Amino acid sequence: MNRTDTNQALFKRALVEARLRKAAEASAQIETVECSDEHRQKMRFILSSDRAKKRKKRRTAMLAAALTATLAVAALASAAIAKRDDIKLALDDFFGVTEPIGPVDEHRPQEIEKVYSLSYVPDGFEIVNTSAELKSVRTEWQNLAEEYIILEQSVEGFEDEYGDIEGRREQIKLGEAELNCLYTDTVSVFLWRCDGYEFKLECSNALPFDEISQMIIAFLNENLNS
Amino acid sequence: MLIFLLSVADEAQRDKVEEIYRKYHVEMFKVAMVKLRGRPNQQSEAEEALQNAFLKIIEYYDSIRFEENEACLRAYYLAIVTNEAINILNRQTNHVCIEEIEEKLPSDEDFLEQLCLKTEYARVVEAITELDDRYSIPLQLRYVEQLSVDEISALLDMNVKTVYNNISRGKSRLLKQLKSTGKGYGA
Repeated sequence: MNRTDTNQALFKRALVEARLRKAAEASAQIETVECSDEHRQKMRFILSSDRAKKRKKRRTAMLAAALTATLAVAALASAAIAKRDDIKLALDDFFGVTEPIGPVDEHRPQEIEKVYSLSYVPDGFEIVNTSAELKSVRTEWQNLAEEYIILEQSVEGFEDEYGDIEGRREQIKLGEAELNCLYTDTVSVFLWRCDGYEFKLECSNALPFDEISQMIIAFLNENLNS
Repeated sequence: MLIFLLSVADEAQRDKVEEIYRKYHVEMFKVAMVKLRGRPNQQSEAEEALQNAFLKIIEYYDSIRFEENEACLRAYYLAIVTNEAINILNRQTNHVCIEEIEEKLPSDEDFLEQLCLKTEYARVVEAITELDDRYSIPLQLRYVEQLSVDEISALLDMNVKTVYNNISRGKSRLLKQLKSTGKGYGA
């Protein structure tokens, strides 16, 4: 071993020892704290990946402002109609406004008042389509391989769309959020409720599960803890 | 005990990551707690740092050098969770990284020569322990894990120039620290 190799080995040893020393100091300062049930459930979700692959990732910017602007335009366009209660009632009848599924939240919006988006999407995905209506907002991302991610936010549920579809179903509880999951041959669908809205995340099956779980966890961390 | 919800294609990898979690999560969590000390949501943020650390470990699993000794691996996992805690701190304080002009440093060989042969080993360890994690973590990933700057950039969510600068600054500060605090061999 030449001198440079010796120096390198010493420096490497010193770096490791310093890191472990810092950790030992940290351990001495903090008593053992029991992790929350929410954390345990999230870790269960993270560690249950069956398609973990190495991927580069970067964060994409939220386009809530753009969606909000679109929504504002849609709201303005329909405001003239909605002002008249008799017409609004007729519209509700026509579109068959349904009761929300599950327990009624204290605040259950009747229209989209706040737009949510994904704070993290995997590298390579770009927004290809957005649409905003009074009761729902939809954003679609796609990459060059034509894999897609769709996030829909709605004041009504999505269960009706998926009731008859064949696939494996399960329910996962992540802290305050309950995810209904459906896995078919081609897509994975995740449904949950947050802040009075219903959310649906639909992804191509080619997308690694750890990327999907990262998207959902980032969304829940951002919106349930705020 | 963790319960698995889905059937697993790469079971060996999943088992390995679960083992890493079982062995090290308490220590990793404490490191994150100390880093996030004094914050109102300290525990939930420390848990978030731990979750993000394991997402990174899974994502960059192929680059983990499992042939290394346990101390090196443990140091690696601790560095990852420390960095995730720092990212949470920076996220919430809108931290802006100011790029300083890169100092002109001796070559790697000269740096190691100055550091290791002319200074007591124990002082080197102490100086690294006192070095800010922003500098010591990229140094550790470069010299212990032997990751490229691009790999370090991806792992730490840092741009490449920042990685270069932080490695340079780390070396510079180490040398300054050792020159200013005292004696070398035989003094």
